[in-house]
Amino acid sequence: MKFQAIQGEGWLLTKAEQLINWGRSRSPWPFPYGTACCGIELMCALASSYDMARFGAERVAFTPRQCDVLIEAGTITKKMVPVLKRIYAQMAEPKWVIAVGACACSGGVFRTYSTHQGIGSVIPVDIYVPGCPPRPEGILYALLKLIDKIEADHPLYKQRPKLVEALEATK
Amino acid sequence: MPRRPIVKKEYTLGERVYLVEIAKGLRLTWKHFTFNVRASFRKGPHTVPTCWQYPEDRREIAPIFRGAHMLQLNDKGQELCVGCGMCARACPAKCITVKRGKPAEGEEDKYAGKTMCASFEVDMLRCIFCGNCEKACPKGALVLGQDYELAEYEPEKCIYDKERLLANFQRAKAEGRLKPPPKPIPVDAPPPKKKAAAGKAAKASASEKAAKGKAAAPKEAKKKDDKADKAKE
Amino acid sequence: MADWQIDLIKVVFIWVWVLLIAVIMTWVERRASAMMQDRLGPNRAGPFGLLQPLADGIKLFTKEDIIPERARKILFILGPPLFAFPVFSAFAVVPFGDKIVIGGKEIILQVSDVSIGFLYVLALSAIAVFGMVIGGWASNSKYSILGGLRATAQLISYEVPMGLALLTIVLLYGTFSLREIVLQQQGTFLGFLPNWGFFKQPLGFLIFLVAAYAEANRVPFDLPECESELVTGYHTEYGSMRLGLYLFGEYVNLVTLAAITVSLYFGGWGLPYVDMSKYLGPVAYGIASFLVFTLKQAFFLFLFVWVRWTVPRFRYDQLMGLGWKALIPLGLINLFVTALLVQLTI
Repeated sequence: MKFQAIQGEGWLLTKAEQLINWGRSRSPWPFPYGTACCGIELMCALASSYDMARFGAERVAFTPRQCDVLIEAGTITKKMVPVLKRIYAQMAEPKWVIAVGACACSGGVFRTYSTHQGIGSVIPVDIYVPGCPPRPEGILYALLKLIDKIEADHPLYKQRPKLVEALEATK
Repeated sequence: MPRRPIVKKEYTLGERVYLVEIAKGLRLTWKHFTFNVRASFRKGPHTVPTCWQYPEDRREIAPIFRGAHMLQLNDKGQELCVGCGMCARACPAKCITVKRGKPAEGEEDKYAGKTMCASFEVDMLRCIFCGNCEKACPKGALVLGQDYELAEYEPEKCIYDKERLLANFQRAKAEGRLKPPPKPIPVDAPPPKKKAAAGKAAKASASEKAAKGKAAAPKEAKKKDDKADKAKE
Repeated sequence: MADWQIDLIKVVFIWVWVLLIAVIMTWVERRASAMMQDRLGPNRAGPFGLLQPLADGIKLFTKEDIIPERARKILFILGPPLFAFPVFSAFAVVPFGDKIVIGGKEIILQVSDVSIGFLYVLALSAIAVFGMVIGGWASNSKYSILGGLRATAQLISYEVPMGLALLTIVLLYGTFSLREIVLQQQGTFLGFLPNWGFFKQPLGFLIFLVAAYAEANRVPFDLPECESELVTGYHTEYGSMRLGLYLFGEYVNLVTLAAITVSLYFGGWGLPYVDMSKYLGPVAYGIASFLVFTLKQAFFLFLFVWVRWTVPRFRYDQLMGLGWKALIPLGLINLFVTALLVQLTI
């Protein structure tokens, strides 16, 4: 079983990965980083009409240590960038980021001295959602795409290079 | 307006104890609870009336909703876009890039106009979906459709090129979600021209301004009629 | 089967059962609160979202464990277990059923029938308070400290009215042991009412219920941990399974408090006017009493969720005012009146 796991995708490893991915994708606890108008649409997506809790995102954590997904909805000014970096750094692995709205993705219509042109240059973004603001269904579609991405992840297989190295060292 | 007198109401002991109010509140919550539990067991996608279960249950979108862009074709299947760049000029976020070009030798009947757009890029990450481009287009080629599922994994995929915009149109046509042509605004006839008298200077300038406004409106209405006709063609 | 083996089986059974109820309680909380708010709760993970707690558990297990650099490491690690395990152990004295007879041996459905009964439970909830304040203080962050201190102040100040209500129970029934109290609640009272503590002590029940909500940090008393006030209070800096222990400990606390409320005020495992032991065989009677107890407990657990979405939360000074200025005098009045009545009727 051990060799199978290192040299290829053994049955145990794939099943364990599938279980972990299933667990992680069915309970993405969001951090609602709503700074501007897109935050209102995010609140709408979390409210009764387009319930995001159906996908397991019920416990909206306001502390970065407990959340999985940083949903960045709204304009980021240059003053806010260090705060955003700090909050992203405080999150526990594994973590994902959804950039909601034109301002978060690229600065939007505000090509000014104070607006940061897109958070992609500050933190690694997984999903970009265009819109000004995107409909709540658009935000839910992004969450569904994120769930697909989490399910296709290889959390245990990521350790493969280190395991191969360790195996070579024992030879 | 006369103000209502401020009455300072003290709480009675019953209200301060609050138990009856809690009981009333519990009854309200219980009613909601039983209603929704029974509703959630019914068959069909939209059972609980206040919750739209995306993605199975989608809400009706108004026909004037401004979603993702699409480049329209006329009834003969010819591209309407002439590559004039009015939309790029009108865009507040400067997210449209248009390059005009002449159609190649054998492909002149693919395009409705004498020129075409060699490249047409809309950066959806910058777009604020205001609809200025749609209003500015003289041919009614660029239109904001009803697509709102725009999330992507990479930012490069959010820059829509001409193929994607045409594909958006084909998809919307197949699903029957084409945008109806904009309605012409009804306009009154312009007032008769008055000679500007000394005492009536203000009134005359006001009427001149109104005349100018109304003169622009028939032009706009004519433009919209043009667009409507072209889209119908 | 030696006695210690039977006790071991009971311990394991109670352990699994309480874990199961706490897990189901997370699901019930989410779905029921969603239904009350005109929406649907989790319904994608498994049918009706039943596997949602499992997904949450897997996710919390596989998250990175962060210990902040400036936190006191030992106390930080000590906080969550110090909160979760005492409330778990408090279930040892709860009588979740009457006796069951297996192989000629009569086994009472209670892990241990100590004579100090609910005093043991009170003591353990006091230790659980330590878990909160240590977790909050060791995190070395301002929201955690504030949350921890608020939680502590709230919990110790609501232990007094709870103690007063329980004191009246002792006065009425003459014993601390929960099993004896439940046994004394069978039969009828005044001819037509069941002989439950609720009918003999309505004010005491009210005081105990309010104090129980405060002890469990539930709305309307959840200021130490609500989000808009204190960024989740004392578990701000906790992630992954430590947070899992805190959240879990809260639900187990709920389960224990519901069980105690049922035992003291609602007749425990007995049906109101029916004496089940006359109609059922010994094994069936044991199981039936267990089911009755569980149903009553389920009602109180649902009541926790129900009240959560009905009542707004108290401000901190209103909370403390309610505890000290309203519930303690009421508790004392209740005590004196009950003492008078007990003296006059004996």
